[in-house]
Parts: sequence; C-alpha cells; structure tokens
Amino acid sequence: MKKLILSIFIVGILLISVLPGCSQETLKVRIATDATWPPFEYVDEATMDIVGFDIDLIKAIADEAGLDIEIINVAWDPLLAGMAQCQYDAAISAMTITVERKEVMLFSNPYFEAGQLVTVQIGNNEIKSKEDLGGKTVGAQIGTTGSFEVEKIPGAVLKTYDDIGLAMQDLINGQIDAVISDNPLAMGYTNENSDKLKTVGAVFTSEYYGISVCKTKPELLERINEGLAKVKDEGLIDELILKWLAN
Amino acid sequence: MGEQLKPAPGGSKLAYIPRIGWIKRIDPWWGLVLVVILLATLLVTAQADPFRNILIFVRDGILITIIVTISAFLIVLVLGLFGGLGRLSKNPFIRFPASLYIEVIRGIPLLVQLIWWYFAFPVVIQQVGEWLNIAALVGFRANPIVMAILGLAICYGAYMSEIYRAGIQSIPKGQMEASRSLGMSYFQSMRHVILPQAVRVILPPVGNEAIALLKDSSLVSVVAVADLTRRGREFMAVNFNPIEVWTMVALLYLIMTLLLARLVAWIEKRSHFER
Repeated sequence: MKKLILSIFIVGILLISVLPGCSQETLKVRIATDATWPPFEYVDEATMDIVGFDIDLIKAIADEAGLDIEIINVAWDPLLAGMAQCQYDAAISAMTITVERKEVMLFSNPYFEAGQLVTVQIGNNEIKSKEDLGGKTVGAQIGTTGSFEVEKIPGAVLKTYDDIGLAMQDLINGQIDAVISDNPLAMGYTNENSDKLKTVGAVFTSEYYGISVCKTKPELLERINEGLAKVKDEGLIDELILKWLAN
Repeated sequence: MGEQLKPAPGGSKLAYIPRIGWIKRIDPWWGLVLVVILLATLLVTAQADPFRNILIFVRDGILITIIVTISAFLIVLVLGLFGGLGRLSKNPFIRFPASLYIEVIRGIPLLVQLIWWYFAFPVVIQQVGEWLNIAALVGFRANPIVMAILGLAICYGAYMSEIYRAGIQSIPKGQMEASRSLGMSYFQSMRHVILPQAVRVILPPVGNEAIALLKDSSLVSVVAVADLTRRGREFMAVNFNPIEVWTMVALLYLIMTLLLARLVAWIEKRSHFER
C-alpha cells in the first residue's frame, strides 16, 4: 500500500513537471524589478501589487510582443548581478543605460529620459546645488547612477542604502546632508513630503532608462524592442507620464 | 577578561604533568586557519583581477567589522553580567526590569532591532526634544556605527545575561553560603568565590557568542554602515561578479571567525586549571 501511494505521488510529480512544457505558445519571460522606486515601480499599499510606470509599460509591451511575463521583486544590487549572470530574462527597473552595464547585459531602446537631482531638508539654505556638496555626507541607493555621481564630487562622503526610501528617511531624520537620485523620484519624494524635503539646483545629468535583457537572449531583446516601438507609436509613454509623473 | 583566567603561580607546573611533547601542545585546528588563509592568498595572487581588487575595496570594511564586533562584545560582557546578576536578584525591583529586558530583546529579531535603533530611535529622541523644548535633543544626529554597536550590544547582552545566569547557578549554593558565613558581603562572595568559578563554566558559550556576534555584525550593513558585507555589495553592484565577491567575503569572514575560535580555545586552555 505504501509503495502504491509513493508511486502515485512520484507519477504525479512527474506529470506536474512535464505539463507546462506541453503548452508553450507565448514566450514565458521572468522580469526582475526592484519595487522600491516610486513612481516607476513600487508595492501598492492597498493591493500589495507591484505597480508603477515601468510595470504598466512592460505589460503593454508584453501584450504587443506576445510575452507571458512574470514580475519578480528583487533588491537592486542582486538585480544587477543577477542580470549579468542571466538569472532573470529581463529587468525593467528605471535602469539607466550605462557603458559599464552594457558590457554585461543587453539594453532595449531608451524609453525615458531622466537626470540626477539633489534633495535636501526643507530648512537647508546652505546647499543650493551639487557644487555645495563638498565635505557633506550624501546618500544614494547602492549601485545606482546617483551613487556614482556622489563619488565624482570632490570631498563628498557617500553613504549607500539598500533602497532609496531608506536614504530619504535618513535625510528626513537629518542624519545626512543630501540625497542624489533620479529626478522623477526626487520630485515624487519632495511632493509627498513637501513640509520636510525640497530639491535644489537643476537636473545635472542626462541619462536614459532602458529595459535590460540577458546577454544570451538577443531574440528576446528584439521582441521587446518591437513591442516598445509599437507602444511608443500609440503614445503610451506620454499617457504613462501623465498617469504617474503628472505632478 | 582579567586576572582570573591567568594560571595561579606554580599552577602551570601542575598542569603540564606529565610533560608532553611540544608538538602535541599545538592546537591542530591551526591547520584549518592556515589552509583558509593560504586559499585566500592564492586567490589574491593568482587571480589578481577580481580578487585583489575586491580585497583592496573591502579592506576598510574589514576594519569596521572588527571595530564594531570588539566594541559591541566588550559592552555585551558588562551588560550580560548586570543582566545575569539582576535576573538572580532577590529584589523584585531589580529582577523584574532585568527579566523584562531579556524577554523583550530576545523576542525581537536582531535585524529589526538594528533598523529600529538607526531609523526610529533618532526620531524618538528628536520628538522628545521638541516636546520638552530641549534644543540639543531636537538636533540629535545618530552616528551609524555607534547605533550599530548599540543595537548589537543590547541584543547580545540579553543572550549573554542568560549565559551568566546559567554559569552562576551552576556553582553549588553552599559556596555562597560558606563565603557569606565567613563574613564576606554578597558582592565580595560574587567577586572572589562565585564569579571566578562561573567564568570557567561559561567560557565555551561566551566564545560561541563572540563568534556569532562577529557573523551577525554583517547585519549592520543595512543601516548604512560600510562594513565588510556592505563593501562586498557595493563592489558587486558595480562589477557584476557575485561569485568572486561573495567567495572572497566568505573567506575573509571565515579567517576572522577561525582566528577568534582559536583565541577562545587558547583562553579555555589557559583557564583549565584546578577543576
């Protein structure tokens, strides 16, 4: 009897593992995102779903390109390393296309232009732009273009955080002098906390967000680029900007 | 740890009878330490491209990890003693707070405690300052390393209290009664009779705690302390080579913990007399 149960169990497991292989019409794609980056990707408080600009975009692209996407929430530094090691098929996470990243992963055509912006406490009248950050402690998220910009400022001390929310929290607590992050994000946080935070100076870099694709999957990149071109033609990007970045 | 651990004058002669060859007195586990160090050296010299760069990048992180661990552990030793004695106290006004501290702290994950100390505690201080109108408190700024040491020490102090308590309770009650009837005060009996014996009993678990503390110090990387783990993550985020980075970081931790384990073993051996 025991043996019978065991063999039914084993056959069941085998069946389950075989079944998904039978019905593969659309391409299954695992997409990584670091959902701590509002309004591009974050976990909605009420529904507990991952939502945002990037999520709407990748869903639209998937519809156009016939991809069956699964969105995986990972922290930023494992996301970068995971993409370089092809642990995920693709990633959409407000990722700036950089030369260094291009060496280890593929990038879609750019879909959004952003730049770095300095955020400080509302009462800070000393820091007026990026030039005043020498000798100051400046926070940024680990491995982001913002953290690379802090490293370029002579005399500035970089403090890296797991996610940008922690850096902003530390800034609100007054334990660091400024945070450097992408402008939509800085705007989002200063709007939400307009009594505590403000941005200073102008956007001082110009960079482009792209969808990164694992290096061994150029055919996936092609499909994503095609889908991206179609949704761009339909004017979706402008719609999304209105929806997520209006203020 | 002080003088109790040193052998009594003349005691060393007793301990080494019958005399054994010098080779047997060498702790064979030093071999493992040597192998791991050799392995790390080999990687750094033979594969300089990632490994040497990783080592150079993380070296200030190693220093931070060591500083955080040692300072936290020194506080833990003192805090644990007070916690342990407090828990054994007959006075409920001492026993209750000590027990409350242990029960509460033991029940909260270390990671949560560290995040609380760094991100929530300063706000609490600032708000108390606003409420009481004290400018110094409103302007309170937490130093991440200090908060990390504080968080680790308070958490491990609770565990250490229980270890001290177990050690003290392992000494037969008659010893305390005898010292008291010889005219010693409670603290004199503790200081000269009970604790010197208890220390020997608790040395292995205390050493264990020290090693666990060294490893758990990696959790401070979430509160923006640039320790070994955080430096490793920063390196990986730019160079995209998790295998090399985490192998190297693991080896560095292993070297530190193995050395610490040898130190603990050596102290245990030195304090092995007269039992």
